[in-house]
Amino acid sequence: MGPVALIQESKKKYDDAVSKLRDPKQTDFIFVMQPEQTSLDETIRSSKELKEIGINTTRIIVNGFIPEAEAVNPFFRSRYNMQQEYLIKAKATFKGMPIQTMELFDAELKGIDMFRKSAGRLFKGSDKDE
Amino acid sequence: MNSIEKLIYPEKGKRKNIFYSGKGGVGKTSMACITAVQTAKKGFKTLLMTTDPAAHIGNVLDRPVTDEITKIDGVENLYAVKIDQKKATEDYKHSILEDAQNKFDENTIKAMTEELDSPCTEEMAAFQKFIEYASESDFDVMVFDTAPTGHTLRLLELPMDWSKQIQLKAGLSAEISDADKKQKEKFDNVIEMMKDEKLTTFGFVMYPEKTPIIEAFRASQELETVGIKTQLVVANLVIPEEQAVTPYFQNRRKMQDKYREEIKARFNEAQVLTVPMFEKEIKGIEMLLKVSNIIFE
Repeated sequence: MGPVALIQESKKKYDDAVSKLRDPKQTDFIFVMQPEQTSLDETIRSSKELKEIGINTTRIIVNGFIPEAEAVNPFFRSRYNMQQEYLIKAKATFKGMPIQTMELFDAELKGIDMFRKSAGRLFKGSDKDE
Repeated sequence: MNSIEKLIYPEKGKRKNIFYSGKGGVGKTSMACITAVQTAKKGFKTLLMTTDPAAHIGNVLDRPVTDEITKIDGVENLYAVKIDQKKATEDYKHSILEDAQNKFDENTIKAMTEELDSPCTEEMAAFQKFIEYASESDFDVMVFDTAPTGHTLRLLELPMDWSKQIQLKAGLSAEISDADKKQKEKFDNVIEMMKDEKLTTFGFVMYPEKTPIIEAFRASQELETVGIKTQLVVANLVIPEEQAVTPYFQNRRKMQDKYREEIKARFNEAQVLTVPMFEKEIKGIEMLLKVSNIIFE
């Protein structure tokens, strides 16, 4: 017997779980992407697929932005501008959806202190967007 | 030839297969394009294969890529083909189930259908396409941006093909016919070729950061269980030293240096290829030609 036959009795549980995923009051479905072509393409494709099964994307976080103050030479200026262009494209693609941004840090996100710092910045950004 | 060249160029009169592994978004497709442009440039008839569902390869090459082998304008000897993973998977499922439908009852078919809904099926279907091209074509170099995992290869090594394994899992005994044996032989030949370090290069693409290194290392250990060694590791998006002019980027660069050392230590039998960050995305033939020169020459 296949696995589904074995879990038939739990079917209700699974149906409930999926309906919770479909209910935006109970579930936030957030895509995290980088401000790059591939990542944008992938996000468009995946959110479309989810929509087909009744799950709507509620929010997008665009991660890994070079801070403007750090884009001081032509090399990083160019990358900075590229990232900003993809942010504009993301906003145009996902019209009406809250889009938050997150900066790239100069160290890895590791340890409670780092997360305290980054969480502060992430959710500060969200006030502005809503 | 230096050690990196040995990994991408074929020996005289032989073929070279290059597989890239790695998580989504780390630059597998870019690396596959860069490598294929390089080998084509050197005069080797090269086929670039991708399973990328977002058709990213067409963007990178800036040329249309379809599921027919197409010559790429602008680079002599370069051909590309896109494997539509969804379609290949559906075809593959269909062929297995069609055969089964004549033989088994409804419940068995149900169980088999369910067994086929596994990520393994996708890899298997893509790999089947690779086998098709690998056994029929006259390419000197084949570059594939989606390497099968150790898990999939282990399934292929079992003494019967996967459709039979599914029947077994569905609770049936499977008879092995002569046709099956032939198919199995073909698989075995390809797997032998993949284990031959001179003919096939397995490469992992990653960012020089903690989690990607650990994940790639685990995947490479899994490949080793089927006798495949990781020969090439690509550290991608490394900040060029001369561009790290602020403390912020100097810190990031230092972090990358540390993890490049860790890559060398973990993958001590592989060659490490450093691919720098560029000031814009890698896109278009012109840029691929330039980037492949910087990386490989």
